[in-house]
Amino acid sequence: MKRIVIADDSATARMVIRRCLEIIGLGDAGMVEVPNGREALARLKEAPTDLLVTDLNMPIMDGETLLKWVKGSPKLTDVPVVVITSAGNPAKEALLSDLGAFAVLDKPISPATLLKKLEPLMQ
Amino acid sequence: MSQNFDELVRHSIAVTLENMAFMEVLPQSEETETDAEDNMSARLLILDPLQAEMVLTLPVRLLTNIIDVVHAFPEDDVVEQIRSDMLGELLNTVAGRLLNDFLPGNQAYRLGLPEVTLEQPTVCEGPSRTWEYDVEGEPLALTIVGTGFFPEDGEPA
Repeated sequence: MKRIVIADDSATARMVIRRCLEIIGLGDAGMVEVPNGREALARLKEAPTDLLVTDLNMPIMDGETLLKWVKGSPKLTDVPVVVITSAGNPAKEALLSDLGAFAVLDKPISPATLLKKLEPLMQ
Repeated sequence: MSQNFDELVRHSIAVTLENMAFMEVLPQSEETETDAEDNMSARLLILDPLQAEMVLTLPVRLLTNIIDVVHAFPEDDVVEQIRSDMLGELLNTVAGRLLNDFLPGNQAYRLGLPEVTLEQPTVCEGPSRTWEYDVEGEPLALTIVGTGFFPEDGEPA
């Protein structure tokens, strides 16, 4: 993977995600960190992106809305989206999957859980 | 008090700190006492499907240690800037973990935004309980307030 966009309003959460990505072998990817969905969309349009990792609850544009925008855009629809949230449950996970999320993970994430979900994309 | 709920609380904190900062959560011992003035707290409202408030309190020293691990020893001025963010994210994650384990499988929930303070925050009135732990020799306390978790008799719903 060459470019990964990480969207979370918490700098701490973004750092945890970044470190997990580095630990599972994606440290060479260019990582772009943004605090909300609207900025994520802007950065996704700047350059081809291999993965979007997003929080669900964010100001300005939340993760669910971001996911809808990405999957509704012909230019971005192929970008795999991983949603990481502290407010997940099976019903929400099913909804996000229906909307096109590649994976939904509960916080706190660990390198092991992230690797398990991302392995198909890394091969 | 339900031992199961105690375990859910402990598990939510342990998983959060182990995954985020590789830190072990132990039962509190007498050696982990600290001055209240060294503490920082964050509070968070649970809005739906039950109403309650959670308060996480820990010494600035421990918070700084967690930041050092997560952010790989940032400069001191950066540490000061991200203390609130770190504490809020810790509480947010603990709350989400606890509600995921406590509520029936398909039940959605809604959280407020964490508020961080250097003083012991004023919280909602109602039945409450506090759980205290030892993390790397420092105390960490989680208080839950409200009838959402403790309806009538102080026992978890």
